[in-house]
Amino acid sequence: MSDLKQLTMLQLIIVFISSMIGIGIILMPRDLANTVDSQDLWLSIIFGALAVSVVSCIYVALAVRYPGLTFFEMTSAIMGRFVGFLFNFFFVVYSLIVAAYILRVTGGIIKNYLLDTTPLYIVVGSFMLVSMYLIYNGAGDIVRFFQLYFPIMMVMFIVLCLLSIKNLDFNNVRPVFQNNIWVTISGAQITFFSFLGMEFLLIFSKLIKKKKAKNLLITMWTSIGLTALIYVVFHIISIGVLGVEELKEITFPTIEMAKSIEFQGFFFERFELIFLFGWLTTAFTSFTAYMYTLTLGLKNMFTPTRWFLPVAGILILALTLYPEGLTEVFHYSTYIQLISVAAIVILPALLLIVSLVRGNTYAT
Amino acid sequence: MDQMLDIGQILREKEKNHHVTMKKLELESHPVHVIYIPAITDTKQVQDAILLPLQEWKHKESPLPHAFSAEPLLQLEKKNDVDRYLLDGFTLLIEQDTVYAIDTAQFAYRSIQEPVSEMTLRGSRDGFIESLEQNVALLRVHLRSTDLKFEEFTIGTRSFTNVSIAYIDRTVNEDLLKDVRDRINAVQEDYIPDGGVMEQLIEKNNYSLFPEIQETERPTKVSSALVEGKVAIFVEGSPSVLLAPTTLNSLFQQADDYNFKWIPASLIRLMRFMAAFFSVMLPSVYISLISYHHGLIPTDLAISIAKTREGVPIPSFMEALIMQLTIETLREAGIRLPKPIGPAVSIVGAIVLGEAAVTAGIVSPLMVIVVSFAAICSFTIADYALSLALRTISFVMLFAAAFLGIYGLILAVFIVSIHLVHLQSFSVPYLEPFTPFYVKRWKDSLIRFKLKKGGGRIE
Repeated sequence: MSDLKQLTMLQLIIVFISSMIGIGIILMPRDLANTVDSQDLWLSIIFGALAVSVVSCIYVALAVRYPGLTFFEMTSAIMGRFVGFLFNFFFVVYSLIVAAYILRVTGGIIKNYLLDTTPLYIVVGSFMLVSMYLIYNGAGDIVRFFQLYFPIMMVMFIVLCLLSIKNLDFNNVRPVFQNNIWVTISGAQITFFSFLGMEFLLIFSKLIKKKKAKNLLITMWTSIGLTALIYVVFHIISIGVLGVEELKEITFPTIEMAKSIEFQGFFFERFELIFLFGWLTTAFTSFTAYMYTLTLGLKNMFTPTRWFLPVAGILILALTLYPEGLTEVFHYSTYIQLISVAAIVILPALLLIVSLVRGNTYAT
Repeated sequence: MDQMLDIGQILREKEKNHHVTMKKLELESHPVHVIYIPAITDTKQVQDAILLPLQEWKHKESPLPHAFSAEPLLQLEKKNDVDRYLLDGFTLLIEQDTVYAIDTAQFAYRSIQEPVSEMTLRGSRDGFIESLEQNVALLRVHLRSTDLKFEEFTIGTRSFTNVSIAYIDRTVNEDLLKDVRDRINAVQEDYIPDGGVMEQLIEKNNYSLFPEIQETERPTKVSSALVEGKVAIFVEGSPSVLLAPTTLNSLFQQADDYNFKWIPASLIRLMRFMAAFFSVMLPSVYISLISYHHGLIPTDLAISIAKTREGVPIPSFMEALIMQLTIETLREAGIRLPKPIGPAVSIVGAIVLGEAAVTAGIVSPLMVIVVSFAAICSFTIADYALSLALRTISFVMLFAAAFLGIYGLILAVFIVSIHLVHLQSFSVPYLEPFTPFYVKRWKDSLIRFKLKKGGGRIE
């Protein structure tokens, strides 16, 4: 296990951003274009971010009231053993589903763009094995790994943004604020799910013991803000390069945008590889965070053994390989969103309310 | 082994050994035995400093230990010590039931030369030799500080090896010091031939490819490491001095980086990092591009690559593997061969073999370019242990690329980074200034920022 005891604010921000940006950056433009159907769609991201910022207050309140306790320990401390077990079970199912979803979409993209003839189970299996190796090394190493790749990831995104400026057609982005504001706000129900990841405040809590509420709030809001900024920039560029009508049709608009970059006179004329590497890193970090949550939850619900990592792996793999194709996966996304809302908004909110009513904290 | 002294037994034992000289001097009241090994002893010193004074003092009552006030005279208490000091070149004086030892050592050593494995353009040219004492003296030449402290250890069960650790008091971390001491004391080994063996005996991650301890033959390198708060481990009989803890970053630092102006020095260091990256990745990226992702190569280039590969009967992965293995074989041959023949091998390898293989159509010329450029890149890695690690990894990368293309490569890079993130050298994270972030130490990482002038002294 690692010796990392206490995360700094910077490390926390990195953990949040690395887990939030994942498949959202690839899938969101299309969903958003279909719902909002206007060049203003990036405004929905800001509304989504605001909604998430509100939700994050629940987490901060819980983290401050029960310092050092993970979500899985909190539930039984607040709700008692039986209800706590149910809560934990639900949260474990949620992480399992999200992890499998991330893995499946990642596998689909890899198959689509890099390895079209390789069987899916090899693609997702190897991805998961690497992630399991990281999880096996412990939470401290997960954070360190995120930290190592964070600058690389950011540099790649910035390079991509700079390169695509040439292709940007501002007529696609203008005019702004023409759309019905309510439709734009309703887009927040899609963008909200691209900010999934802030619940890790309650997962990595062993490493966040001595933080004040104010600091935690600033940390969370900074990470949400930065993530929103990255999303907004990418969406504006995607709209600018491809146009809203095309966004609706393409399965992976962001990759297509990266593909459209041409830079003559350089060894590589194609830059989707840079984007794919940067994005694969973010997918890997989000997936690892969810799989870690899953393992942690399983260890908490049952007697902890080393076998939960392979068990989690088998569960995820089974769920990942269950759907026939990506279309079927997207078909489930509505249910996944419902479960997510229940797991990351309703459960913590219930916990906080009960905790406030009962008035007990970890200290008492 | 800590038996009590049995003088009779010692005398009997030494008498049988032909390499040990034993002299018996009859004093007034009792005999004194003088024992030494002539091969490792300065016999003139024995004559002048021991035998002569003893004869002059013959008539006094119990001349020992008063006779040798100028020489440090050690009184030995254990059987083990007797053998150890004798083998260290000391002369033993046995008077009745007490054994004394005087340092008269004179071992055969080579003179101080420039280390062969670590070349620099500027800076001191002296290198460590096989003598622990000389090495310590050499370090003292470069680092004249009263805070420079040494601690002595003797390890080995069959052959005694003197090990010495050096550090700067108040600069070094006490936990690190304790860790080093504990690990050295825990070593149980018959014989320690070299610092490299010592390194493997005291490191924790035995399954890691990466060196946990840095080894150097340059006193300047040791002294700058000590100033940074590291601990140096000297092993008797080995010119390589071990530095702990080690980070990946410190393995890329060279003395020349500091001896030249900072901007070119930084650029060169940056280039060295990139060269290391290329040496690992280039062949595997190449084979994954041409066997999986033709679409990612610019069209013109793809056509010319296809042309050069025309008629090559083996898949690109096998081609790369054969080339890499050939280069490794050449490298190994170059090291083992006597110096005058070495260049001949490289000429035969590079020109004849490469050229002929291309003409024969076994490998494509582009593959030769890629693999040899990667090999040249790997020569910029000065630390041989690191270079070995990276060369091993480059083979793993080849397999990853053959198995899953670019995706496999990315996963392999993830695996290596996960391992590096986990790795610690004496409780210091291996990727230290990068993760965890120590922004202040970044100015001596990928680049080498300008030196501080004045050292904070008030004019």
